[in-house]
Amino acid sequence: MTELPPYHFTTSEINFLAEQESITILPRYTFNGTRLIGPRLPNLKALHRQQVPVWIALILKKQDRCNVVIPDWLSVSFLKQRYDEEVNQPNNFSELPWHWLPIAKMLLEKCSDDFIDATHEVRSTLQDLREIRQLKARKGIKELNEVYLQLDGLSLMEINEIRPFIIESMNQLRILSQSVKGNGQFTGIEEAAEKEDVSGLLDESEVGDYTRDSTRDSIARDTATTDSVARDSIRGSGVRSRKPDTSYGDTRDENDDEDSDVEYKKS
Amino acid sequence: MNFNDILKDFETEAKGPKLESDKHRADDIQRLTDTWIKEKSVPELLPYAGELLDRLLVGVRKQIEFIEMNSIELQQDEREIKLLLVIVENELDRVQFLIRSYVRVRLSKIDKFAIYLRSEDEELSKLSSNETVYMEKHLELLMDLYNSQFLASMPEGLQALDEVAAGISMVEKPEYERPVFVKCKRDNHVLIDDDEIELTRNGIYVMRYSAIRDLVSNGEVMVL
Repeated sequence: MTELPPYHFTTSEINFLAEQESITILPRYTFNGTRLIGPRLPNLKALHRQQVPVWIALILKKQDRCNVVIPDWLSVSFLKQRYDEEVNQPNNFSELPWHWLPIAKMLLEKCSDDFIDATHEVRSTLQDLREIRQLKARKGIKELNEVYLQLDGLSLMEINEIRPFIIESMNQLRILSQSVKGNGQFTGIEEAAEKEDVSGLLDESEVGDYTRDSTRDSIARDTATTDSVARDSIRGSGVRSRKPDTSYGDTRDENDDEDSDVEYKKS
Repeated sequence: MNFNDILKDFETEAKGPKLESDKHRADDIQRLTDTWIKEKSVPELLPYAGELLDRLLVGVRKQIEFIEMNSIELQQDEREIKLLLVIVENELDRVQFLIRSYVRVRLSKIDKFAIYLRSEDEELSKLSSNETVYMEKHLELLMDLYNSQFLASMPEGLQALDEVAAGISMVEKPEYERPVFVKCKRDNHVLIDDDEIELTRNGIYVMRYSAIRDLVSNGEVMVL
């Protein structure tokens, strides 16, 4: 009947969630707090540090009523350290706050005068960090299988970028593998045929500055060859996953070549 | 009553018997956010968070009164109260956004799965009374439309909307097998296709909803 809304969040919804996080401010004037639906806004005393939600901090900042204390993780040295970790540990993502991307962006836009480090340096370090993590996440897509995928260390924004693609692909893989196994053969194949080509989905996800063409090709190839992908070892990716070898049962030889999926479909 | 009186009122209220209420309210906002995220990411309809919404709607009404009262009688402290109103209005908008989005996601699921929801008592109990009324009315209108547009001119054997043919049911059900993103609050393990999978604390996983449905409902894993 009607279409369900997508199961992923828009970028602005992720920003909204990031704005709920708390941050320390240094009020410039004394200001009486007030009761809110959520936690009350505490009384603010001039030059007394106070924790408030980011969205309140941004309103006060806009009216020049406070300075924002830039969190420790938003410094060049910290970010550089994380960048080195990313380089040295090709199989892991370094630890960053859950909302590091949107918060960094908001603070850089609205409170650039509160930064201790030069903002252009912070920006470029952030960009480096983001790119290396994106690269890892994309490499990790190779590990995609129908059972599960582990993505420790990714932040919410980063998850949201790859979510539509991963969910649709995993769903397709599951439908295909089910039809191979023989239970629900017909429904499986029909369901799979009805859905659009997974490779097109990458366009819909808000991937921003991904270099699309090359990745999309390799992804399309990867999803077509489910079991050969799953047999791949981890190979320098930031995503770990394990494929249980029993999933296809005895119905097929482990050394089947890539075309076997197609043959199964036809039969 | 001027602005400071109102402030004092709130002050005493906050300090009075409801000393802990601030913590509760903070939790309520967090709970609303979590409920919204959950409802949005999960393929099935979840139980309606009625009590939570009732509490929050009382808060919303109070804040609207507060805004109305204070925007009429602007007095000496004008700058101060303007800023305060900006903050109050902003928060109000944020809470209302969450509530609206939550309700909309639910309505779209109800529209889609109406026939299925009606057939199962367990599913029906997840709806609020308003939602049940909405579902019945909407379905009635839809059926009228279908009948008058094309169903009536079809052979009688093809008019049903809830038939099972060749093992495929016409009734749309939630895709329980759809993968979801989850974060684990503690070590755990799940079974998928007879394979046991270890979940580590704070790990982020993508797996089919059916496998972790119980862990989601008892709060041991969070959907993202």
